[in-house]
Amino acid sequence: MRTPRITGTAAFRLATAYALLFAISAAVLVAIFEFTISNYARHSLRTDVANEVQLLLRTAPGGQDAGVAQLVRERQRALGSQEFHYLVFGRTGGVLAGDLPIASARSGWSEIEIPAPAESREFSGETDEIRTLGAILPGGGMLVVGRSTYAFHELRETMMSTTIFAGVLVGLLSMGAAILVGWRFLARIDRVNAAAVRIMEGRLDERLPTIGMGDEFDRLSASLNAMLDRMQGLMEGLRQVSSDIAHDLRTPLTRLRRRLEEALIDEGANPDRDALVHEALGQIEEILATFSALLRIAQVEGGSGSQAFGPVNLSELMDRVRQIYEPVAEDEGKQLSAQIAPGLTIDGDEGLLAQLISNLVENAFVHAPSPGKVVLSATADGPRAVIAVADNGPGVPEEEREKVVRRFYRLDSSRTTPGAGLGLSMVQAIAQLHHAELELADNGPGLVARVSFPRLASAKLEN
Amino acid sequence: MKVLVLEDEPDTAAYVKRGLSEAGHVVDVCTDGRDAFHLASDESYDVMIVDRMVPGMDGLKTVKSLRAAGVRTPVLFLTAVSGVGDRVEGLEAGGDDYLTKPFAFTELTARVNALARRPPISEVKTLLRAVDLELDLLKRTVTRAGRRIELKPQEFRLLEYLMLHAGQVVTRTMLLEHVWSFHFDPKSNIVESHMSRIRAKVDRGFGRDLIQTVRGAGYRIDADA
Repeated sequence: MRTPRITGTAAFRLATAYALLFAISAAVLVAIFEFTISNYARHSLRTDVANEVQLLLRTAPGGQDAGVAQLVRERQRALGSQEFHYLVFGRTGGVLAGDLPIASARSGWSEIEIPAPAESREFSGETDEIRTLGAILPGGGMLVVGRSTYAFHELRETMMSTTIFAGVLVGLLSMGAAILVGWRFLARIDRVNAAAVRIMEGRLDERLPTIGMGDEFDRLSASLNAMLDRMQGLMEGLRQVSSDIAHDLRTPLTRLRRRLEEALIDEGANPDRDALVHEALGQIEEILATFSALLRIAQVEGGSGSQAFGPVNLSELMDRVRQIYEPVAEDEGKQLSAQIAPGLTIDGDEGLLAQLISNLVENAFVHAPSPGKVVLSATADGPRAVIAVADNGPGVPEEEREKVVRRFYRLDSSRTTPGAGLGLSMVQAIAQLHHAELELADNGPGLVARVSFPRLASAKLEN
Repeated sequence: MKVLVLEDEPDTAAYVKRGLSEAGHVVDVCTDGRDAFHLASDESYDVMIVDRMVPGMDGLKTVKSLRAAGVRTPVLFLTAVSGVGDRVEGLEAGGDDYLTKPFAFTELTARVNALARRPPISEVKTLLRAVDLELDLLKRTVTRAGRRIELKPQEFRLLEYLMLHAGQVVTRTMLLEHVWSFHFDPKSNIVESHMSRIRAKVDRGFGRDLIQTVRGAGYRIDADA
């Protein structure tokens, strides 16, 4: 069986989709983050620059050009060139202090590019963007304070590269996870597939391994295995029936063939040909009856009959069967008695239930020696209705009790009694169809066959 | 009596036709459900024998259509379809009796006769009579030559069925099915045991036996003197 490529597995596709979703959400998050940070940085830069201007104007004695210039020089010394850039411009047009070019001498907010300081320059000719605020001095000169946006750009760049790195990492990790999960999944599926192939090749006792990827998968393999159990049971039943038919119908067919051959050989000499033909017909009838019984058992085991279920008064049915068999019991020298609790109702098929009881009664008649005693009973046992047919015959040894419900199975001691060995198989099949349990027990002496049916709740009856 | 046989299997059709003709019936055979529907739709037949699996329109559907068209001719299904629920399905479709293949011819004749001479529903009798034997369905009493005969419930049902078909042969299977609703073949001699008890009560001491055993077929109660 061909293993699908890993990229074709459901787990891989799911993981890829998740990775993509992660990447998109990360991008959106970064965009929002970046926007917020930039806004904040821009705002704080402006605040810092404006504060510096206010500070200089307020602190300079009299706000005179020279005073401001003096102060600026002090500030430059104290802070270095990293914090602020300045320009103090005299009324006469001369530069009194500062490091900004003349071009920046504009009042209000503006921007100017200057060559980047040597220590932070990454390539020659790199410029530094400075945000400036110019203010007219009371003495007629001008003060310009500026601050580099370099740090701000740096932050953005760092953020960008980090984001790309993280994105690639997340993508790779989720791809890896997808491949791992897909591979693990495939390995498990392959084990299940291999088991399925072995089953198909005829190893019907083989079962699927647990998939083991969580409860739902384990439940799946458990149900599949239960299905295989059921199918194996059915197939074994089928196989048994076929061999049973082959074995057990050969005997009557062989007998029939002998009779017909005799009829042929004795032609003319045998005045009783009619009798032979009648006998042969009788044997065919018997064989056909066995076939019908087998078919019926198979149908009942297959669940047909349950469609026609309805409430059945088991007590009345039991009493009716007793009345039907009463004269038969008298003729056969058996004593038939009954103890039937009234009003036991179950859900079932009346015709099949009649056959169940009738088979049990006939079974008891056959095995109870004359003068035998056969006792029918029906009792309520909590939520169940239990019917029982007891005889005082030889009974069934405990180790044989499970076997006697098999088709054609007959105890050695009963080989001489009439019957094909299908009666109890039919009883078992009908009982199972009715979710009832058949139990064979010792009657000391004899056999008691009990069938315990689930009773129909009275509420259900009224509906 | 006119009988229509719907059967596509030539051997079976010929066998049924020959047998019924020998018994004095007029037999028409058709092999297609639609033909059967047209032939039977004017109620000119006394009985129809219908196989379930035939070409055209299957037997079940043919009977359903005939019943829907108001045709009341009695129908006997003669079929190999013998599942647990199939019989009920056949009767619910409008069939009056159901016989599964393979079958004994005596069984078929007995059932055809029973169907053909069935009184119409409007003439349901409450008093059955066979010679000097009377069975009152309302009072649940039986008398012969004016003398009261006590029967057990199962015996009463058996005698009732025999007398409904007085003068006709009823088979063992017909009795099992109609008197006791046993649609399977019990191993015991249920019919024989009950019959011997009824005979003891109905015939013994009356000088004439009304209940006859028909060898290889079944039983018959005499209809009249």
